[in-house]
Amino acid sequence: MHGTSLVSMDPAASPTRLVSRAAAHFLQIGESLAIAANVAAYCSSRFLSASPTPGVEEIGRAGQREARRRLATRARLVSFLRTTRHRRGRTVRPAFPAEETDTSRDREVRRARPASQAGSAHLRVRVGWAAVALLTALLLAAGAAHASDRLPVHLPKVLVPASTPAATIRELTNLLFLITGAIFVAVEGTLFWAIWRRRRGGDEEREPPQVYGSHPVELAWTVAPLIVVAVLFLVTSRVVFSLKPRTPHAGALRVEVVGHQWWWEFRYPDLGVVTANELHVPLGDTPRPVFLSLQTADVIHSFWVPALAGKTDLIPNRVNQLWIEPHEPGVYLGQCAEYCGTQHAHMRLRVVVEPEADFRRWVVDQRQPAPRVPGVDVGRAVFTSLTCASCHTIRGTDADGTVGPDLTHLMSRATLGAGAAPNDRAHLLAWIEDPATVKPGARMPALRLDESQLAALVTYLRTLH
Amino acid sequence: MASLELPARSSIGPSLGERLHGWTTTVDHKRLGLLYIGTALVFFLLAGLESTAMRAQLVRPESKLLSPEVYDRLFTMHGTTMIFLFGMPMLFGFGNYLVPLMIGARDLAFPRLNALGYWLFLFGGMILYFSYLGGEGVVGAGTAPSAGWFAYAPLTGHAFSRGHSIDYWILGLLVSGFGTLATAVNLATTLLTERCRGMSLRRMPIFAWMILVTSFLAIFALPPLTAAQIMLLFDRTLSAHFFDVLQGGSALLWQHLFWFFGHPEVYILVLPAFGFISEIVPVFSRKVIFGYSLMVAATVAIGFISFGVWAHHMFAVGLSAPLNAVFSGASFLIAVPTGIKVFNWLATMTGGRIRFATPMLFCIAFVAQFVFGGLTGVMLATVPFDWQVTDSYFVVAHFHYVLGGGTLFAVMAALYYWFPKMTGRMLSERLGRWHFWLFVVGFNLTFLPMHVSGLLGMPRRIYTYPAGLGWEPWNLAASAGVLLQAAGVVVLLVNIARALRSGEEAGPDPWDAWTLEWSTSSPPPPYNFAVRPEVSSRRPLWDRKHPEDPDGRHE
Amino acid sequence: MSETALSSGSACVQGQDFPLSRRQVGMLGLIASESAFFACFVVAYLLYIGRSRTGPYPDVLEVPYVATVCLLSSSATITLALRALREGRSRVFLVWWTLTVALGVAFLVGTALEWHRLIVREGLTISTNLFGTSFYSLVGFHAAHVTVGLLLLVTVAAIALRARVEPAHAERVEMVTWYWHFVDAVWVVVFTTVYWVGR
Repeated sequence: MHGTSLVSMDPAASPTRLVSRAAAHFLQIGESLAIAANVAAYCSSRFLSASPTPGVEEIGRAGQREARRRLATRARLVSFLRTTRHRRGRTVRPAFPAEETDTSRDREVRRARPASQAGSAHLRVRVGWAAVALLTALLLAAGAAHASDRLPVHLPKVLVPASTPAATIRELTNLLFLITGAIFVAVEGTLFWAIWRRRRGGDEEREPPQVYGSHPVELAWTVAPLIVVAVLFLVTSRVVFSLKPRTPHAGALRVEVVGHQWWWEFRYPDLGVVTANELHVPLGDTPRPVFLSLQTADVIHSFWVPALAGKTDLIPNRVNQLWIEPHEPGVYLGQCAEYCGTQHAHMRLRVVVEPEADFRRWVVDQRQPAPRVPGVDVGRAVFTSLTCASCHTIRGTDADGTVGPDLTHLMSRATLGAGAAPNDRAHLLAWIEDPATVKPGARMPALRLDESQLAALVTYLRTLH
Repeated sequence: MASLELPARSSIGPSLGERLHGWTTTVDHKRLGLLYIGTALVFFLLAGLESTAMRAQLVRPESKLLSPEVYDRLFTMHGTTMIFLFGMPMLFGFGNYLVPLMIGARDLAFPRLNALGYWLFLFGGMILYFSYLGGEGVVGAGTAPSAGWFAYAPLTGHAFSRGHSIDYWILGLLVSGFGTLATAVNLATTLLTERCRGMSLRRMPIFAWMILVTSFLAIFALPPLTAAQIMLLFDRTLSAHFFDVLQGGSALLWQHLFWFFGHPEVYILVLPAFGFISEIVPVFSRKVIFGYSLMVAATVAIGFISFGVWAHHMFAVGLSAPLNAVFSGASFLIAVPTGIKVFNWLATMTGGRIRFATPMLFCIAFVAQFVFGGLTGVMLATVPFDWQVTDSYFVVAHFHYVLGGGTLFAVMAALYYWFPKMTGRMLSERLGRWHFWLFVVGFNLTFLPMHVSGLLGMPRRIYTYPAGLGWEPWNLAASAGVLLQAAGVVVLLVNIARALRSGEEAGPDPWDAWTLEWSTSSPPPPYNFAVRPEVSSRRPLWDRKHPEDPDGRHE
Repeated sequence: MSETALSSGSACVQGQDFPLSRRQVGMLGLIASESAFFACFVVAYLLYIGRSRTGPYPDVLEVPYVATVCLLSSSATITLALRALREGRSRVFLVWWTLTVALGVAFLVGTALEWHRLIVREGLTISTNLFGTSFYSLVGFHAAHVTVGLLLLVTVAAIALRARVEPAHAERVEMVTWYWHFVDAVWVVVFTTVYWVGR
């Protein structure tokens, strides 16, 4: 049925380029961290050293009193910072004032499976994470591009960008994975180590040393995360500002996206094109930005084509802006990403990035009214006389409804019902006969046509190239 | 001097009617706590059934097992139930039970208000679930609500959600929300005014601090939800225009109000869990909690910052770049005190004599899983990355790791730890281990692959997905994990049932712990303490057990 | 006996001291949550200023000076009532207390009259436009809180009439006055938002 005809594996992005960019970022971060560490070390060494700041000259008795006062304050601060409150003594653990049952439970607990069990749980989690990383790497590295269309179909993978915004996000993601991965390894490793190196056996009668706190340690693990967070914040802000919506320059391609329950309307105001569910975008010699304005006719939707850009919501009474800048030709898959009702799952979209010449041809075709093909008058009459015309537009006929998608060039699209089914005769028949069998809950009613009407209508519709 | 006459156990006990009457009219915080916990467990099972059905639908692509309408109701009810009818009541239930015992009081500050809180919660939940039966209304549309647990406008307006399903959602949550608010005020008051002599705020158990901050969060965060829901109710019933886009109403107003509640809400759900961990880990590491003051300071910091991060749920909405950056910064900032707590727990465990009783196993898994979920949270605070993965299965994985791998695991640890105190019986360690291993493997099997399917472009709240996008193996794994988790829960229920009937008798202090609740009998008498204790350190029972080496000198 | 200590309400003899009693903390908790609640409706009102697509517009509002004076002076009278109670002058207490109730009722009557005029003469209801929606919900919830306050006041008055309200009960009565002062403070905010900022 559907299966692999709709999609295929994508060509891999260049791994070396991504790694080198990530390394550059990492070095930048490392530099900043090194500077910060240097500063911190300098300050702390000055603070913690017992001697007063060299080069400060205190003259006179008042000056000496002042110097003594400062020394006392610094000494207090130093002793505060150095304090680790713990008890070196080994406290004896008294016998339980409990019944037999308590000690038997102790024994049961001691007899329980050794700690390696808990360690192996951690091992399992970490193996699981390693497996995920491996699989992800395999997914990225693998990829035979087998194109069933003339353009390869790109899967909606966040980590395989094909447009400037998505690539920028990918670079940031690399840095993010590095930082959070390092923290993960450090913290989980500490957990693992704490369990592995716990006190075992020996003197069960005594409590281990009770450590109440340690000011230097607590200060360190407050300051270090703050530094990491500051770095992340700066990097994030920079990318947020670089990706924010831009005003289209003169001559740039603009597309108006209008979300409906549960299909996409695309209008090209400068080119006079109106279509649905499939967005065509030209690719010149150099990547050029395409500017999308996002609106909705009913509830909140979200435009998400992962390979091209992050998602942006379509909010009623509001026009949001999004720009993409594709790098390579292909068909990019996307989907509505804000729950919008029953058929949110089938509000899919395709972005076709094609060479300039093909795009121009497409625009010219789309601007034509419906081709006047002989022999389908019966079907056309069915369309225009029944309620079809009150919801759909077919330019070149009297049908001018705007509730549903523009059908003037229905056969130029690869799917029906915003990705609910492939666009072939069998599915078109099923769709018109009863849309609920293809997309239950869709707004289009079942028209209860008889067999001949249905066949004629479908024949007519399949001439709308 | 009046003496308390308790019926002797061996005599003919009270009739069933008397027992039911006792439970229905009780104002005893312990009984109400048990009612909260038991009711929350029932809702947990219901929500679990809902999610099991969802995963059954998603096990393969283009499945026709469930219709989209049914699926949408399931994910709405699953989220709403887990958060409002399991998470909050369970945690407040433990707070109810433990707070007076831990601070040496006899009951909460307002016992009757406490009872009101419970019954409002129960009836609110029943109103919500009645929607399955009665939501149809005149139009015949709707049954259970199906607009998602965060119910974005205008999808919830009467134009797009006909019938009464959303009205049930609103009313059920309004009623139970009042109960939660009452309990929060009650707990905050108790913690401030009912502590026993010697227990300054700096000597309270960490769990008590967590409940205090959580209560303040609830007091300030629940009213915005109430306000938003009332606005929605006016829109739907009185034709008001708060979220009516045709009249100029703002869909974003709902989002801002909701998430102003929603973000502190998740801290309400996680801070008491931190409290559980902070009580259990020291006991099973045989060491005092490391860095008490910093823990408390970090908790208060989290409380304040949590009111400043709400728009990180709205990064994709098209807010201005400066606004996005500010909320991103605040979201990064809140990771710092959270991380500090993790380090404190690790430092507590380091050098300790760790006992792997079941509560400790759940605590260890908590730390491992919560760190993981917290780190994906840091990733989500990175706005551009969030633009890609918000509203996808990546974020579903994130919040299940912190709320499931976090809070749920902490709740299970707490169940095993305090069950002996509450019932006087020990749960079986053997069954506890079975429960733990089944659940931890199943949980990670379900939610770890969701990170991948999110990165592969799978949005959330879809009732089906196409074949050929590479999402199948991850969904299959996720669904398989559910079976193990279900088995783990069954083992837990069997454990509880068996223990109640014929479990080993627990003494007052089976774990050799140090806080005041372990100085009472198991279960404690109705009045908690015959003579209210006086404390001189954070670990009063340590002082009693080691009179030659009291804590107070070293704190 | 330890049981009576529990019922005294103020800090338990055997407990740790805290500057506020549990009644006071409880009432402050209620006031805090209600403040958050009102803040949301104020925000909605402010957001929707000038955004109504159709009339009537806020120029149809008449500033309710009399009602405001009544409500704000009721705060003064209730304070006087409480002071009288503390000094044991129960008759004076009852007089001031009843005056407070009367002023509160006068406020509600003023609100009712204003609403009648707006609905019947100006055609403004909660479903007319954004202004109507945000106005009636904000002012309406305030009026509802005044009503609840009046119920509390009347209850205390009824008790005072049938039995005696002693100085020992002063703290409980004080909690009712705190609630009443809160309602007044909210009116100041609502008044400023609706009749000053919004017009």
